[in-house]
Amino acid sequence: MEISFNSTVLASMLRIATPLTLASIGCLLCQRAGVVNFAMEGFMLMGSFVGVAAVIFSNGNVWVGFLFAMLSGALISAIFALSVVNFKANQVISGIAINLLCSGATTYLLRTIFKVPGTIRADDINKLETLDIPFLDKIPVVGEALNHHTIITYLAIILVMITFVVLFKTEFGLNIRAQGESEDAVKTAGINPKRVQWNVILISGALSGLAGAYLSTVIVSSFTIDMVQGRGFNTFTAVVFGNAHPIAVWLVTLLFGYADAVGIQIELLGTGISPSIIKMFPYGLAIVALTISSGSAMNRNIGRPSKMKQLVGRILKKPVSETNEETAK
Amino acid sequence: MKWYSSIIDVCKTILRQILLIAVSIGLATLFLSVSGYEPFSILQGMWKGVTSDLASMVRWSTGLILAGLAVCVTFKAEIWNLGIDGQIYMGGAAAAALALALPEGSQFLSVSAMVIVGMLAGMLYAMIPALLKVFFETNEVVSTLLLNFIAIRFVEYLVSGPMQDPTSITKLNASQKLPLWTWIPRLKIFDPSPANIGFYFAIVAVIIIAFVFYKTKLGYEIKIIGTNANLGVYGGMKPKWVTVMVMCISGALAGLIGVIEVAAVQHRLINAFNPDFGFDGIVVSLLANNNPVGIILSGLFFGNLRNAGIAMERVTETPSAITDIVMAIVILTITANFAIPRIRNIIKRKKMNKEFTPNRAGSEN
Amino acid sequence: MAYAVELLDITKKFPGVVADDNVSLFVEQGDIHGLIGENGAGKSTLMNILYGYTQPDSGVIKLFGEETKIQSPHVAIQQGIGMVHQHYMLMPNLTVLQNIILGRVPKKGLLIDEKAAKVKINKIIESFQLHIDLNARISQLSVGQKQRVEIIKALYRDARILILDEPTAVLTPSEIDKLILVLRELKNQGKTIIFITHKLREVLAVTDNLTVMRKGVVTGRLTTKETDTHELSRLMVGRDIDLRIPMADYQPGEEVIKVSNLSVFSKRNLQAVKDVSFSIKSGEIVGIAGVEGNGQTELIEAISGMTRIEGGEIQFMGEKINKFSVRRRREKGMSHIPEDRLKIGLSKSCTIRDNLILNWYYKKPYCKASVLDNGKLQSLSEKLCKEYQIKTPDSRYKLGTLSGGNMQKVVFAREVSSDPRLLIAAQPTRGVDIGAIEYIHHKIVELRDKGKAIMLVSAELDEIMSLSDRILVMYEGCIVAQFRRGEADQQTIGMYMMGAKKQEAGIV
Repeated sequence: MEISFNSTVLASMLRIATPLTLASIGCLLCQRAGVVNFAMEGFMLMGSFVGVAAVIFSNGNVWVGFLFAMLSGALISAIFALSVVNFKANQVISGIAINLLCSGATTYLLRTIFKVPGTIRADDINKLETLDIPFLDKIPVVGEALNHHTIITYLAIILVMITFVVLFKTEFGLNIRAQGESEDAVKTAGINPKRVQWNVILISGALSGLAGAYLSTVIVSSFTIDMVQGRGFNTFTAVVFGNAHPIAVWLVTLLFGYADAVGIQIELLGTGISPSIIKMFPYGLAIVALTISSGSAMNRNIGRPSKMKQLVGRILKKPVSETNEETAK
Repeated sequence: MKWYSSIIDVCKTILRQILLIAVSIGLATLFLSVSGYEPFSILQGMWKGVTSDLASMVRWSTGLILAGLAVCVTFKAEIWNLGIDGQIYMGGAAAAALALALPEGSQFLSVSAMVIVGMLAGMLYAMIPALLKVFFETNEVVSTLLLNFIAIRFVEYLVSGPMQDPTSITKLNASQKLPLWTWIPRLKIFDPSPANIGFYFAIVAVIIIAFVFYKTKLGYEIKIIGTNANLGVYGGMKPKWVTVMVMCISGALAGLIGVIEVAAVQHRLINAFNPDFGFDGIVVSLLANNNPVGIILSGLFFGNLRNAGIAMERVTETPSAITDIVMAIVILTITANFAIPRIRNIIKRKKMNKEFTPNRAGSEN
Repeated sequence: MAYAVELLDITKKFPGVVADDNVSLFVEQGDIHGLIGENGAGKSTLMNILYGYTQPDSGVIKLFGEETKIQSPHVAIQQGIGMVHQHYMLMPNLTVLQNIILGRVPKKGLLIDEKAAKVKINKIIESFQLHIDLNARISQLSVGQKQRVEIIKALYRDARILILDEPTAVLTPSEIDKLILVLRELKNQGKTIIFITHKLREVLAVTDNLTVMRKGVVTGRLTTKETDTHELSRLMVGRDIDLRIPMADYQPGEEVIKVSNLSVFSKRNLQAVKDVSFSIKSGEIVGIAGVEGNGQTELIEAISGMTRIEGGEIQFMGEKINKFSVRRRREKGMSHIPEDRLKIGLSKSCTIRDNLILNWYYKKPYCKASVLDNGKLQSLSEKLCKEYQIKTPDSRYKLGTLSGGNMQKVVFAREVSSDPRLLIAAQPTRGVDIGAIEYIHHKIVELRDKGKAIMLVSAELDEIMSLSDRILVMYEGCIVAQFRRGEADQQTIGMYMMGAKKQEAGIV
């Protein structure tokens, strides 16, 4: 369709996906380390509030905003870490509590510090410039789409690559993956599991905080109550969908960004499909992906070949090899 | 001798909960005074809630008690239904759809039909994650949460599309006002508050659920499977069946909340009509230790707290968001509280030098 | 004579039990040393101490002549001790290489230096013939291959002493042969090996010296060449103890349960029960002897309906019950005292009453139209408490308030009072005090005299021998021997339990 793939839409996609990408990096690291991190919504909210507040207090300096947003995200994530790692509280419930805490805290601080009912604006913000990368203009569609973004967007993409390398090629990443597989193995290897989990939680706090600040200082320059609007949960969905693999997760966040961008387009064009329906799709897809992955995991645990293999085997009338180790080697 | 111990147990639990609440409110009061507000405005608001503004407390507790029930039914079976909000939406939407289609008739019949349809909708919506869990071992935490978002969007779609009010001049995201004969009556003594007879539904629901827990086969099976799933299998129970039953009950209760909000409070289907009763229900149930009767008290408390926040804001300009903070602290302290005995065990074990032994199935020393 | 490991007068107590009582272990350098005994002998605890999982109450540890303290596995590794666990500590979705280097990662700058790691590991592989594909995922490996990874892990950390805990428990015969070759090569290169097992065949084939333990004490230190299965069995299992309980004459009646060619797979998808056939008649106690882990758990689960049956048939009172649910089997007259009462048979946080009524709550008159009659259930539980001497003032107290023996009585009361035709009693007196043991034994005999069929599964040979009319020995998933009461003594049965012998004739 002509509407769908022009550079404007793709550029929107990248812009919209940026905060998701940033937050999802932290979330996937947590997932790899065995921590179900549901608190990104709260981290992002905190980051978006503190980001704007810091900008206002520093007379328009965006970078100060980013810095403090990341710090505040990390601080809140420390509460989460304490609860979940040290006190071994239920991860999901703690995540929900943190989200509630941040929602209440940001609204409260908004009213208290700024004495404003719903929104604060940072009018004198030195908005982030968009970069102009010369050679990109020459590449049709894609190049144009990639050009003229703020540095944060490019940072997000670079971070995805870095995360890939770190996760799969460094000791830090290996320890994270090991922790997610078997805490026993990690302990026997002399690594402190708590330290590994704290690390990933703090990282996710900082990155989510940055993502939140991006929302409130780059996309708009204001903070509104509950402005994160479920993006934190989208992040979690993206991580599950992408199986906690940096590249796959990144692509999913792009998919979400695309859906949003196209949704806006469609709204502008006034076609029949309600944007609400389109917004549903990521969640629906996520449930399907989740079901497929848990179904095959279930069969893996029992040692039975996945239902797909069984089905195929029966159709082809071939004996399906069970993972019976007695017969192997 | 027999009655003593259980009463003492109950008292101990209540005391513990009261302590938690006191700590959280204490912290909140501290926040308030530090930020320059009237430190006791929360307590003032809560006192008002019990004395002069009973109406709002009733209005909020209705949903909170039902939500707490919906939560405790599943949590007792160690199943995490976090999709209550979504089920509320589906219940409300179904009820509204039926209401707009019903011909004029008896209020009793119409409302009954709406209640049944709403509860059915919530139940069916809850069956989705239940079946996914039973057949594919899909984690219900994630599936129910995802379904929440779908439900929210679905209602959003309904009110901005097919069910949008054709008679209004401005295009609001809301359905047509529901006809009078489909309204759930409000409590006249509390006029003009939206407090309604749904409160009685909630109390009745508590009685029914308590009955199920303590006096039925299902209740016993929930208790056993919730504390030791192996025991359930060994004793011949069917954990999968219990999973489905429990989620259905939970979904039905959630659907009821939706019906009440739509037919008694809003009198129409509007976008985002659910003030997050589902999440709050988790706190309500946790605070009551998943005990149905305790949920009445807990629900009333949070209803009061909610209302106090709103009132507080009106009167003293203290943000009602402080109630969210209080609730969050309560949740965190409760989940950590349940972990404190665990920590005590860990410390005890360290002292006995059972520090770290890998999972040695079968071998004994 | 230089010792690699000296454990001197190690004592370790747990609540209610002395796991190790002044145990001393001497392992020479370059030795392949076998540490043998049944479950509960104390050998696992001893190795836990050596590997730093737990600390001894008293005693001294010396490594290569120097006294030392081992506070954690990390310290143990640093001191050159490597352990290959019975249940592997591997990460299924990571590669062999990654599993090996975890915690000791060679780096080039910020990145993992896989090449350097591969060089070192390949050297180990070549030296000891431990061939394995470093890029394979653990989940794709066979059990024998996984074990290799564990061994390489230990060697990669420069282990000089290797502890192998029941290494042959899950290996095929050919894998065992390969393992033996590896061990010999390790010994050639100066490594010291401690080989923990209850299997006599392998121990005699592989080791140079042996230490035998029984019930927390060392019962023998021998040179492998100079001993045989008879002597070892005697040391492991002890002399005959006569716990005779007066029993009626042995007059078995009709066949209650008949198991034919039963095959069951374990949770790890290995065949745990291999073509097992036997039957139990009313009025008889059939004891299944064997060290834990030889398929008894899976056999019980298959009979009680908790696990799928892969092959064969079970007939109960003449009916084929393969597809019957757990509840249906119970209704037909099967009762089951589980071997791990806390894991499967009880709920500690529920009340005593809740635990007692498990078999009745859904039946009339206690339950009508799904509504429970709490009054009747309370009377029932009070009656049971009295009848079975469960020491509690009120059955509405939580189960956790009872002692181990009383908890077992709750299980007993529940399972026996339903008047079953077949009672499966698995480790019925484990963790139970003497008084309760006596009570349970008498009750079992009482049931048998009344004409019930009883399947007794126990790792306590004394118990089996004193109670059983017939004894079946299970080893590696098969029934390897069958005896009538009095036909064999403890040593003989012990030998079959340890895999030293196998009866040829068909067993019913």
